[in-house]
This record gives sequence, C-alpha cells and structure tokens, in this order.
Amino acid sequence: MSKLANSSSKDAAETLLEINKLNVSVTTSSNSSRALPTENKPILNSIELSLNRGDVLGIIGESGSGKSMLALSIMGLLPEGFNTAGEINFDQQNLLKLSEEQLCKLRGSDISMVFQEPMTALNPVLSIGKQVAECIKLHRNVSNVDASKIAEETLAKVGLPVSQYPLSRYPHELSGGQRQRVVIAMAIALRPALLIADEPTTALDVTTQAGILDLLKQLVVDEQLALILISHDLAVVNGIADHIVIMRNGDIVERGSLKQLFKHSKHPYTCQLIEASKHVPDRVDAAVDAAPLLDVENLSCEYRMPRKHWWSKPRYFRALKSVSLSIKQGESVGLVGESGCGKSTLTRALLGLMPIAEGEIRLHGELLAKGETLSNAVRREMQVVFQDPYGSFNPRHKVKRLVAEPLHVLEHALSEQEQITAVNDALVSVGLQASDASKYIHEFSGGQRQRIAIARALIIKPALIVLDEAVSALDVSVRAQILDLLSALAASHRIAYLFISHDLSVVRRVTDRVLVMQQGEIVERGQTEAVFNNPSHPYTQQLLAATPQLPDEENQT
Amino acid sequence: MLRYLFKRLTSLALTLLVASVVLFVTIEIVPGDPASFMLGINAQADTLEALRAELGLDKSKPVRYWQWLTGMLQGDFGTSYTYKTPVANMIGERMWISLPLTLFALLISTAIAFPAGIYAASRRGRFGDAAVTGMTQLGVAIPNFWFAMLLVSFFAIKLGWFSSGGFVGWDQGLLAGLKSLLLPAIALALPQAAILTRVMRSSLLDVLSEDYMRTARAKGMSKRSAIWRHGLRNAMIPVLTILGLQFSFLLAGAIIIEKVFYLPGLGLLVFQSIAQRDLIVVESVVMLLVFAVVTVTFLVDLAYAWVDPRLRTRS
Repeated sequence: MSKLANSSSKDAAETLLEINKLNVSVTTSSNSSRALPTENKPILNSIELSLNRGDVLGIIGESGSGKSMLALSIMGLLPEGFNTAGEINFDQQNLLKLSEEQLCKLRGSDISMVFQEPMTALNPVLSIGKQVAECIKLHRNVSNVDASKIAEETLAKVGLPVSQYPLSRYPHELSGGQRQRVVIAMAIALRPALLIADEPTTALDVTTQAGILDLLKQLVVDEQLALILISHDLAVVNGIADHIVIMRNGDIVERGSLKQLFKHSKHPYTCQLIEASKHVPDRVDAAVDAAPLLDVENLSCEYRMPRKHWWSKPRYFRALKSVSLSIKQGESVGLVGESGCGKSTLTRALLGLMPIAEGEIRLHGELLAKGETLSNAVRREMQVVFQDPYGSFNPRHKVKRLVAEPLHVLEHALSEQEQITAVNDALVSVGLQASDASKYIHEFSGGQRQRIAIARALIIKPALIVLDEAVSALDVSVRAQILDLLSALAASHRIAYLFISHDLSVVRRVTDRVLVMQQGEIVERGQTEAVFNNPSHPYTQQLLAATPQLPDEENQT
Repeated sequence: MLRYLFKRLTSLALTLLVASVVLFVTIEIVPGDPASFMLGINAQADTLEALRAELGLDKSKPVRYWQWLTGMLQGDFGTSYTYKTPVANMIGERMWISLPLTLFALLISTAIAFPAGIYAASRRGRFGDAAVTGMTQLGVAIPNFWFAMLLVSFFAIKLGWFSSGGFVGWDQGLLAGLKSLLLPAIALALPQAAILTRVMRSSLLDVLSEDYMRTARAKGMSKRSAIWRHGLRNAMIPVLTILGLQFSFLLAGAIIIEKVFYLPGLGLLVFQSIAQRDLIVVESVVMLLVFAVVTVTFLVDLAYAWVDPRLRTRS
C-alpha cells in the first residue's frame, strides 16, 4: 500500500483522486501490414496514487518515464492505440469507465490541464477573451456577455487585468509567460477540483517561471485546487509539492516529501537523480596566466527592421550594445541571460555568421576582418554546439559524414584513411564507438546526439567551443554525463568554452567566470562563485532569486 | 488594417501597370501584321497603308500604348480588327458565360472538397481516408474533357436531362442558364475538387497535430467540435491560396471544356483572336485576365488577414 495514501487523512470524502493498478500499454504493429501479430508495449505499470482535495503532488521523471502519459490517462486524452486497465477514481467515479461524452463534461470543468509549450497552446486566430469564454460556454449555460465577464475576472485572477490586457488581444501579442497565464485562466475558469500542470514552466525564463509557480501556489490556496505538478526538475517542485513521486520507465520508484527523499532516499534511482541534479563535474581550473584566446571589444550588432513606409529610412534594432569580453585558453566562461537578451546574436557574431555593426573581435590577438566571411584558419579555432540535438543534424547523412564536416576548413585535405581515423578518434573521445560512424543520426538518443555534436566540434581540435544552450534540452542524468565529458575534454585538450545558458545553476557548476547579459548589454561580470554569492547588479539578484533551488541548496544561501 | 489595405492596393495598381507594359511589348514582338493578315498576301501597298492608318497602327509605339492604356481606363477597349465590333462588347458577352461558369465550378469544387477533406483528415489512416485519397488520385488523373464527354453521353444523350452543348442565354431565366452550365461546371470542378480535397486534408492534418487542438480537447470539447471551432480556420490559408489560383485558371483555362460544350467563353475568344491576329482583342482579354488574377490575389490577401490576425499587424 502506498505510503502516501496511509499518511493522508483516512476520510474518504477528502480523497479526490485515487488511482489503482493503472496499466497503460500501446499497441504497435511491428509492421504496417495487418497480418503480423501486434505488440503490446507497456507504458505505465501498476500505478497507485491518491490525492486529496487541496493537495499538491509533484511527479518527477525523465523523458520516457511515462509522467505525461499518466496525466493524459487521467484526462482521458491518450492517443489512439493506447489500452488502459485498472481504475482512476475521481470524485468516486471511475474515469476509465466513463463514455467520451461524460469525459467531455468533466474536462475543463472538474479536471483541467496546463501544458508545457505556452507559445503554441493557444489558438492563434482567436482572441484570448474568446478562448477563455469558450471554456465557460462549453460547460455552463450562460450568455456571451456573462461568459466574457467570467473570463475577465479569471484573467484578472491570473495577473492579466482587462485594463492592460483587453479580451480582444490575440495570443501573438502576448509573451510566453503571459500566454501561459491565459492557458491557466482557461484551466481554472470553472474552478476545477483538479489541475494537472505538465511541465508548465519548462519553456519559460527563470523570472517568468518564478511568476507562474507563484501563481499556481496562490491558486491552490485561493481556489482549493488539487494540483498535480509534473516536471523533470526537482527544484521546480520544491516548495510547492506536499508529496512527490519519482517515476521511471512507467513505474513509480519512490514517493514521499521532497525533504524526506533528499535526506534518506531508499531507491538507487532517486539517489542518482538527486545526485545528477546537483552534479558538479571535476574541473581543472584554468591557469591564471594563460594566454588570451578571444578578445571582444565594444561589439555591437544590429538587425534591420521593416520600414515604416517604403520611402522611409530603414530602422535598426541593436541586439548587442558595446559588448566586451575575453576568454583565456582553457577557460570556461558562462554567459547567462533571459530569452531575447542577445545571447544567440553574440554566438552568431563570434562565429562570423552575422555582420558586425561596430567593435572588434580578436583571436590570439589578431584582428578578425569584419564584414567578411571568416578565413578557414579562424574557423579552425572556433566551433559550436547548439541546443537542439534533434534539429541540428542532416538526417540523411551518416554519422561519419556529419562528424567529418568541419574537416574541410583544414589547410591540407586529409586522405580518406586519415579522415576515418579522425572521425573514429573524435567519436571515441566523446564516449561513443568507432562503429557508430556508419549509423544514421536517428539511431541515437538525445544525449548521444549531443555527444556526436561535440565530436563534430572536436574533430579539428579547436581552441574554443561555443556551447549555445548545449545541455538545456537534456535530461538531468544525461546532462550530468555531458558536463563531465566537457570538463574532461577541457582538461585533456585545453579547450576553452563559452557556455551560454539560461540555467544559472548549471553555469554555476561548470564555469570559471560568468557574464550576465540583459537587453544586449553585459550588466555584471566576475568570478563565478563571487557573482553568485554576492551579486551586485539588481538584474543578477533578480535572476538568482527566481532560480528554483533544491532543498539542500536553500540551506546554503 | 487600413494600412494593410492601402499597401495591397498600391501593389495591385503597380502590378497591373507593369503587366500592361509587358503585354504591350510582347504583342509588338509577336510576328504578324494585323493589316496584312486581314487583306491577304496580295494586298496593294497603299490599301495596306490606309488600313494601317485606320487601325491606328502607323502611330509610334509609346503613343499607341498610351492610347490603349487610357482607353481601357475609360472602358474603351478598341474595336476588333476582324469583327469591327467594340472589343468591350465582345468581352462582355463572353464574360457572362465564363464568369458564372467559373464561379459555379468553384462552388461545386468547394462543396465537394471541404467535406471530403475534413472527413479524410478526421479519419486519418482508416478506410474512409484511404477511400477519399484514392478518389482524389482518380480525380486528378482523369482528363476533364474525357469526363465531360462521358457526362454528355450519359446525362444529355442517354437520359436526355440536359442539352449536350450550347448556352441558352440568361434571358431564359436564371435556372435555365444554370442548367445549361451545370455539366460543364461539373466537368471543370472535378479535377479542381480533387486537388482542393488533398490540400484541405493535408492542411487540416497539420493543424490537428498542433498543441492548441490538444488544449481545445482539454477544455472539454469533443473531437468533432474541436475540428470545427479551432481546426478549420487555421487550416484555411493554404486552401484559400489554391482557391485563388483555381479561379484564375478556370476563368480562361476552360477552353477545352468550352469547346466540348460549344460554349462561347473567354478561352475560345482568346484562341480565335490569336489565330486571326486580332491582336487588339488578345491584348484586351489578356489584360482583363491579368486584372482578374490580380484582383483575386488581392481578395485572397484580404481573406488571409481576416482568417489570421497575425497577418494584420505584420505589414
């Protein structure tokens, strides 16, 4: 019997959701032809959960753990081909036994859901007022005027008062955080008993994330909601969830309060997850007297904006304003800031992928000519690893060709045999096998793909690798491995990193120095520990305060 | 929104102007002097000169372009070299057949394509989808003149429900007019409906996998009402694009069907005028078609903005 069910009040009326022996599997025919036998692949195994009214349950798991499938099972929104067995009792009725019509009445009214991607969760062609009012009209017999009124009140409740955000606004006129507030407003408009939030803040900046988490906390208290908060990030549920369950491969491996789990977790996977979340790779400090590698002075970059009229002068948006920075050989420098602050523009400018408006970039003390494509000699020195391990490879090429691609910037072309050796060495150095060279990219997991991206950067032995959110899309345990790999490579190859990330806790653990960027300007810089322990700029302070923390980090600060 | 309108209108006017120049120059380059064509190869030089003067062919090119352009703006398209009647009247007569025929065909095509596309998309991968997709392949593959002849031999000759060709004229009443356009309209609509169904299906399938469709379901909408309330409008942009192209295509591209059904439409007019070197008619009809295409594009642009609020603010 679950500890959670025992420890909570025994009064049955208090229990809102009780899941008994929930099994979910997906039927996949191993071939498209119908004649072949179909396979039943288990997705969730004997899930037991219970949740009281007004309680907050955190569900933690890495990708593929089945946490989102659990949420969709409760909503009755599993895709076709999924089979369910067991019971999901909500308010004393088994949801799995209800007809689609009955489920439609419950969804949005008694059970609501908020999804991960606020940028796409709203219909782009309908105003926000219409979309919120629609929920109300679907379930209650009210006039359009009354529905708009309720929509207005609900939007005000989630922090979008009608005076600033009229109902006639369209989703594209709002930021990501504001859109997520609209989604939450739709979910809570009818005061549901249960709200399921599936990674509601994963796509958002830290300060926005803090705002949304505060809102959810507030709603739990004000509306007496039961909340299921699903996340891959232990720190996000800290301070909100009364209980958490840890999921892996469709099983609940451990449950309890977050503090309990941190103090004495019994299951090895939980320990591994906690360790990975706060993993600090072994690093060799960069030599203080190392030679300067990259010097950027007063770098400014502009984007051209659409003209107002065809006869008016073109306007420019300054994405980088007089940015100066330097990186020494073998040093790891962090660059943090929220979306739109100019991080990616800086990456592009450094790599010669966009023109420079003003300023100078020097590599090994030599000035790079601006406005020209970089010479191969320069490009040999700098490589990049991007965020998305799925989108950054051509799926039609074999790994061999993908990894060998930078070799064309070498002065002397390698013979075929030398190329093969170089590719194999690069693959081995990132922990893959030489035999992987003849595979295609879809045969690899996200973490392995990111290793391949690093191998591609490494193959010409650059002095600097720009890591543009290179670990942001990875699960915590994979992230820990990649961070270890990066610091090992830094030690063995004397590579300098420019580590660009929105995730302050990761930057803190892997960099020597850090730069904080806001609206195209560097507002604070210094030794990483010094900046994090004693931030001087208000923006840095704000970022740090907004960053979710694990229970044992809270004691530190 | 006003600004969007203004910009679109300006680009419409400019497009027309450029098109008129290109058209005029092209016609000038095309070999064949209308006057010598009309008088035959044995014509006297001074008769030829007289005719050329009468037709206005002796004036300089810029002057002729200017007269042509300003004439058109006042509704004067000149006089046909061959028939000696005002081109405006000739086009007007043909327009009364071609325009209704085009609209009729588009109406039939959308009436088939929308439900079929929506049906196929909502039953993706199942029998209904496969059946509709198969039918569309057939629809694209069948030559429409052959299908037209099939229609004639069955409905006109065997059953005798319709006349096998010709147009009764609108003075016989709206219903009689529509009746004589029905078979050609169906023949024209078939391949268009097949194309439009495929576009509708794939566009809707893209939309169905969007996050906001899931949001709609989480609100408590049934699958069907989610498609109607949130799916369709988002799937409309590609469909509108194709509809606009089909309108332009059908307006003058119906020539083969016009031939099969003996309909004196615009397509036939262009064909005959080219054969007879009646260049002034060719110029005018082509210019009119350009105008129609540009106007439809403009209307489609407006429809985009109506469907998608993001386009209203962008430009």
